[in-house]
Amino acid sequence: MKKILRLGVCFVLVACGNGTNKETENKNTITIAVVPKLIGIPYFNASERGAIQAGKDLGIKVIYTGPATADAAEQVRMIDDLLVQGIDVLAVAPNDPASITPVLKRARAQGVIVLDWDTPADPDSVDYSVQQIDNANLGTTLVEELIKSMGTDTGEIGIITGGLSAANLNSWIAASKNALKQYPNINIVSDPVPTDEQMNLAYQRTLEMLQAYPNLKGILAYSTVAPIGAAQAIQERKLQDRISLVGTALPTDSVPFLNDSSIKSAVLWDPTKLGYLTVIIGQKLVKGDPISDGMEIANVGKISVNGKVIVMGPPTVFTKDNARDFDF
Amino acid sequence: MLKSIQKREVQLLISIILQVFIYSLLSNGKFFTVFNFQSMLAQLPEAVLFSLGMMLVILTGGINLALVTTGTMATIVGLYIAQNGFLIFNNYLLSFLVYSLIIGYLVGIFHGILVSKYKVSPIVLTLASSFLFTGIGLNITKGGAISHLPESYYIFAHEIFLGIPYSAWFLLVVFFALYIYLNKTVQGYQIYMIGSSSKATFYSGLSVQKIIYIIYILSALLGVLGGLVMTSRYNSIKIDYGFTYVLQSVAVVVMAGFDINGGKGKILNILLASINLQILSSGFNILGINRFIYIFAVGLLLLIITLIDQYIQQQYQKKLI
Repeated sequence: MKKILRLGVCFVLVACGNGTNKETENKNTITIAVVPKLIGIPYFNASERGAIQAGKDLGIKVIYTGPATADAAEQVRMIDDLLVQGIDVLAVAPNDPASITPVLKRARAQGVIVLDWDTPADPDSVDYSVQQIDNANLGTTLVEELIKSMGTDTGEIGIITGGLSAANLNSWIAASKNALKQYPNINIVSDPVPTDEQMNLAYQRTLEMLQAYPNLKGILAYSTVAPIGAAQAIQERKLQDRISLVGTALPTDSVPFLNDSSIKSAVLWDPTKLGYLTVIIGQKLVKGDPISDGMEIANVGKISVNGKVIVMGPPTVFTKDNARDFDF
Repeated sequence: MLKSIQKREVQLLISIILQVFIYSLLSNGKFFTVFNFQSMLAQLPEAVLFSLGMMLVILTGGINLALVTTGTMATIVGLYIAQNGFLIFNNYLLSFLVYSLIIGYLVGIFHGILVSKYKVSPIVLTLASSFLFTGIGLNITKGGAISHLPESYYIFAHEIFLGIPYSAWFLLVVFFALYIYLNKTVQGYQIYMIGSSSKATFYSGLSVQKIIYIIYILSALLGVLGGLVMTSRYNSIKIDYGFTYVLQSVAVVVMAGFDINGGKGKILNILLASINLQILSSGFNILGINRFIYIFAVGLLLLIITLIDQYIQQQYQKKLI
């Protein structure tokens, strides 16, 4: 028993000693925590690469961590733990904006600069909002691509989405519906069908949709996972000629489906750049550097700034011809 | 020394102390701070409340897969009724709390009657009702979260009183009450008896039905309390908040040394096992370890504990021979 006690005391001493040394070392480095909705899907892996690269380029510490499933409660718990670590900037892509408001307020009360990225949080609880894209622009581009690939502006179309409470997906769907008003003969068959950000669910829901609406001509798929699941269904049923699928997919994921035109085109932005930009903005805010409309960011391009909202740029359309040129 | 190490509470305590040492050592002093301990204490109550709800049904040899959705659904419906102007004493907060608990109580009665009287299998029943409740919740919220909670309710899970959050005080009260109920009352003793052998208990003249009925009501109410704590923590409620807690609560009960077939286990160990998982989770986060590795570690911990258990049992039986 005595031995164990002695060992314990040693442990504590070492722990304290370690603590004081490193603390002084770290004082000058900026620490930015970037929290995605979840880890382990291609989209957030790509933004991780960007965020980590920005950290290297700027010589600051970037922590990229998030829940293993898109559970809002788990995400809040992880942010709680990050705040304990003493970070300068917290950039979060909320799974559910409402649930994250209390913890963001607490972070700001502690003097942490709070950003949202990828998906907007409650505007009152963040210092800046880093958005990938002008939502209206993306929603409209998707509709234009769909009409173009359908070759007609008459017929039934369906909408599938990652989740019904994801604010960004909802605003794209709203923008697309708005753009569809120009095409009075296009008929949306049902409310957006949720697929929980899971490929197999998107696959199943698409099969069901094809079954339920035999005259379907087009599908709009929102979230980076849903279009791939939908494409698998179309590929399996060999419906490439009858159904036009357009969605917000990553180019590397879509290449096999773009090739046999199970997906006609994918519309998105570069998540690597988004991760990169998020870290750059975080660093600028800590340093007190100005952020202005139209300013040029190295490796990202021109950004537009409107109040608290920073927008990265226009969407990129990935087709069978250019999708191979991207590495995310 | 050797004898005490065979006790689950001692193992869990050692694991807690070891983990605190390791994380303090590796985290440059970020782990061993008052702030972190308060943060962990604020995260703990919802998980423990769900685990206690799971523990009660497992003690009787059952399971409640609808535990967390009972909590979120009841809270959503309670909030929905209150928001539509049906107020008790004109008090929004009070109405919300009372309605949520009433809904939970009704769920408990529903499960209790079907399991105790009609002998429906608890795993099938609660799986079915978890889908049922998810459907009800989704229909009300349309997939999103309901917020609009009174400002004062936010304090419950966020403000500190005498060093620990209000919600942690609340947990202590509930825990203590359950502790007394299980260990110091006749009914508590009967619950353990039913878990060991419901037939023997039946023939000894006790109303097994009545006790199982009560257990499912208590379990549902604990689920609602967990839901209410989550509502305060996230200042909103959504049907799938905390869906990872369902299986985690089963893991906690197993880790705490409860027999999954019922009849055996100490309530104190639920608290210790929950603290273990919380420290593991926060420790890994603070060290910046990938979340997938955390999930792996939970599995590993569970496996190790089961194996140690098995080993000790075998040694014990050898000695008897």
